[in-house]
Amino acid sequence: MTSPSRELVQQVVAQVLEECAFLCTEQSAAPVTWPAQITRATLQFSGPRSGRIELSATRELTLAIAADMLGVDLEDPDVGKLADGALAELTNVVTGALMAKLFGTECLCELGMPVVEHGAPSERLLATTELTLVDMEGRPIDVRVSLRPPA
Amino acid sequence: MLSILIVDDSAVMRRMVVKALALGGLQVDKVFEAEGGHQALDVLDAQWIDLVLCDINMPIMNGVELVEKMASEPLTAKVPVIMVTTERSEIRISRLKELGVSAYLNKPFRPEALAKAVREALGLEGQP
Repeated sequence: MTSPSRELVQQVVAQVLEECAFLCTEQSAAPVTWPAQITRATLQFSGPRSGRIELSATRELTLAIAADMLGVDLEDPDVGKLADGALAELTNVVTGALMAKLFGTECLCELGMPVVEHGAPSERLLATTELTLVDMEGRPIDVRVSLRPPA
Repeated sequence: MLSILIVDDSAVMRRMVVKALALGGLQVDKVFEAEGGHQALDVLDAQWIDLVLCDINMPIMNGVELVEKMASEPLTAKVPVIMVTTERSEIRISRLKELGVSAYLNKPFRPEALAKAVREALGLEGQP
């Protein structure tokens, strides 16, 4: 698989995070320490190229994203219930915006349903932080886009 | 009395739409929610709905299928529909406009853009 440019992906993700969750992010300047458990949302897409987008975030940031998207305090009981859904929806919005940037709007693209999992950070995630953004409190969110070779 | 149906499989997005309608200054008296096309049709069958706000990418019956079904039924054909979606394909937008969709908003959207589209779809321009 190949990937689109890091700058393009980060620009799209930063814009979506700001507009959906009022979170300002920037590329991580220092190595990121991931906790033992993270939340990961994955979405498959097809169009002129097919592929997959994967967003990984700490539980702490996922909860903050949910609270911001819902417009409630972190202590609100809905935040915990809907945190996975918030990351899933964020992935959906990021994918739509990114596909328009990558392929334009004249083609027909299909988006799959986002799948959310909890688990240890992958070795790929731990190996490189060049695709990791951090918010103003230093909480990381990592975005990986993989494109399958053209048929 | 303004009654709106929000159709989106994401509970988070449905909540965001409700919040955006309020932030956009719209007084909505009744908000109904549906997770997909089939559930939306049930609501449309049972309730008076002034406007539908609809996602596209949903399992089982997606937003395009819902709009096609609504357009084919006399009772729902005239209910204004605004698509609120991540999809930006001009082919799909063109097909939905043929089916009579009032407006097409991309996520992420601004509350004022949603409120403007709702006012236009309902002929409420110029009203607070």
